[in-house]
Amino acid sequence: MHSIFKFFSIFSILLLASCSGQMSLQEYFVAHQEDADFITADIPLSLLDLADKVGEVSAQEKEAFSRIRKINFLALPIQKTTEARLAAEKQQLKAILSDDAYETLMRFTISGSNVVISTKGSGDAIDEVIIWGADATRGIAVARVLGDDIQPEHIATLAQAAQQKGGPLSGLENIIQNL
Amino acid sequence: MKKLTVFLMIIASQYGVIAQSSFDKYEDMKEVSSVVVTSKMFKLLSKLNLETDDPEIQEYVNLVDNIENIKVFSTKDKGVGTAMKADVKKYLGSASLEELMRVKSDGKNVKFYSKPGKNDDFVSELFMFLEGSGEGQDADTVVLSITGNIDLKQVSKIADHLNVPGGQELKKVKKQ
Repeated sequence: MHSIFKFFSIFSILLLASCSGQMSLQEYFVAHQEDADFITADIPLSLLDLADKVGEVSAQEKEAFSRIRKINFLALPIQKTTEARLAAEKQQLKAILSDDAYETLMRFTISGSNVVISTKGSGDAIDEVIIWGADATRGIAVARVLGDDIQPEHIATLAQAAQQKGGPLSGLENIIQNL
Repeated sequence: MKKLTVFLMIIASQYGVIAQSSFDKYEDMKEVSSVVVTSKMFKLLSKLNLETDDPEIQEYVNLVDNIENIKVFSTKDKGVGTAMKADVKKYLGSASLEELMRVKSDGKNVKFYSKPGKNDDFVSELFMFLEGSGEGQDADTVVLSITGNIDLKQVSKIADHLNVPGGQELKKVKKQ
């Protein structure tokens, strides 16, 4: 009887330890905000000047944008890091995103750069879209798109808007390029 | 008896691991280009509000909804290509895949394999292997695997939308 009790206490301690040992993506972002080697940006969607673009933004796009609160961006440029650090950060991100809370939509590797797109949310309603990539010659970049109840068609609309040159999302491109 | 059960369990778990990871390791190789699309993506795609009565699009949505995942690995590297070929051979031996068809065009050898599904028209896995030879475009060794509940009559439809190596070859799949 005593040994069973002992077993369970050890088991629960292990369980707790394994829970707290895993960093969340939020914690990862916070932990690297103060790190001088990293570039971070917190972009509220209001920065994208949607109001100035009346007429250019369709009702569909407006609806999609309204579901998104902000975009968190974090990057480790290759100039500021070593190969070993790059590999370690990549491993850490992989571990964080392998948590059951995140679901991978797709992964691809093309000529040495990896890109992974994951989502977090319940059912069809997505609260967070995570896009991250690693490249041996450029470094690592992670973008978190945070919102509420993002539906598949909103993502499709946003993806289309992002591809449009000079479209409503071009402001975002400028911000990232200026970093 | 107990020993036998444990033994069988270990064997079974080993098989699970092999089936899972026989190609996944190629994702991390820099000589290999890969694309992996998961069931979550297909679920989302099928939920897209396509306001249409077009039966053809409806069929397409049905097809997409029933796909579990698509994996494509391709390499121009000879050494990795040879390793891939060996893994393909091993995989075909361990999983119950049957040869579906063989195509040879422009000097490229493409082989298709399938795993039986719920009935004759459906397969639970469609596997394609294209062995690279020569230089340039022909040097690509490609492994493509589609799992789910796949209607063979519909497969050529996704080939148009699948912008990956081997996508063109996929068009040739027809219910024979």
